[in-house]
Amino acid sequence: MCSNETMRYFVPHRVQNIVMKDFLSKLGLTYVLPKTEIQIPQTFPVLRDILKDKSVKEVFFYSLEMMPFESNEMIEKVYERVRSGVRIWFCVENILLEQKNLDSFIEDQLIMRKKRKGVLIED
Amino acid sequence: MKVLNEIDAEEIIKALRLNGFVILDIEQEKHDRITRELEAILGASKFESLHESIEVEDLNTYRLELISRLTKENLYTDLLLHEFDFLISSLVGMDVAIQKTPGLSLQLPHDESSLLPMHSDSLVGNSPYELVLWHPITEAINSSAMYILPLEKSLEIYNKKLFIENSIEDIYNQYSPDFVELNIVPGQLLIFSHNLLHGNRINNSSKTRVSINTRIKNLFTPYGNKELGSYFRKARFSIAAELGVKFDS
Repeated sequence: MCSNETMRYFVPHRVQNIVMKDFLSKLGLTYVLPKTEIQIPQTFPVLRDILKDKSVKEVFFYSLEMMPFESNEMIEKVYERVRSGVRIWFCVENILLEQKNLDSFIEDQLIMRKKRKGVLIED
Repeated sequence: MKVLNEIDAEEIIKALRLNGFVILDIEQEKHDRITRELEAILGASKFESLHESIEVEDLNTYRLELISRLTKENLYTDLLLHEFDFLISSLVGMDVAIQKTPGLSLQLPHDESSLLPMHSDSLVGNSPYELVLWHPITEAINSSAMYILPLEKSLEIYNKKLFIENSIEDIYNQYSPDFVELNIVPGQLLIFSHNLLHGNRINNSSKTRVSINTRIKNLFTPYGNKELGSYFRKARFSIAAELGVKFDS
């Protein structure tokens, strides 16, 4: 879960919990206790812990917006774990990131982020 | 760690200023009264043997049920406000906001799913201007106790900005000798600033540990993501504030 704004507003932990619990239940999984990232911008001590834990095979992010795209070091660590077989789900967007779609995911995100920053001009 | 008497408000404030936390003894008569009321609210007692009658899978449902009983008609927070009226005013002032839905922690023996790693509430959305009233319903001793990093050391981590390049586990390992184990029993109350880094371990005792945590703050200090109305309720209003609000348009 995150403690910062996603998509320009902060989603209360209570609501993030509901979304994640629902998402996991549809996959037949039980939601127990979330890990909550701290709210200092561009700081990821909780994500670092998760990425270091080699027993973790699947990670569920509340939203794609939580991905550390602005930190080259951190995003590389995430991709490295995906390359090693870890699967990442983004509950709000219903996206699964895994080894086989990593390249396509990276391209998609580059396009989306440029679009958001106004670099790409739509017809 | 010195345990203070509940009526020594100045001593309590001094201890909070120094360490960021304090444990105090509740007056016996008051403790008996609170225990009776709480048993009536929760409809249960003897929580230390809860693990004999509940499975880990059912724990969260039961926890939510207990929280709902505490929250009904503000029964528990009104009890706190009534019993600790003077103390709460001494800590946050006359204009008081209190958490609407108190937290309730249930830790069955050896249950890994209840592990709460080192954290600070203000790093995950609470305002730094809050205090926690941590009320043990069962004893919390050794592995079932919470650990906390006293004020000076917690501040050191913030000031050195250690969160930027370290994981929570790295920081925990680096500071583990400095953590204080908060051994506490029913009849006592822990008050702490949740800016201090704290957490719990796996309860390796043979008893279930149960505690209730409630945040209080001055009504007019800044709010974090947990706001007045949704997370806090106005509990007490000074006359100056009451009159002021009528004319402040």
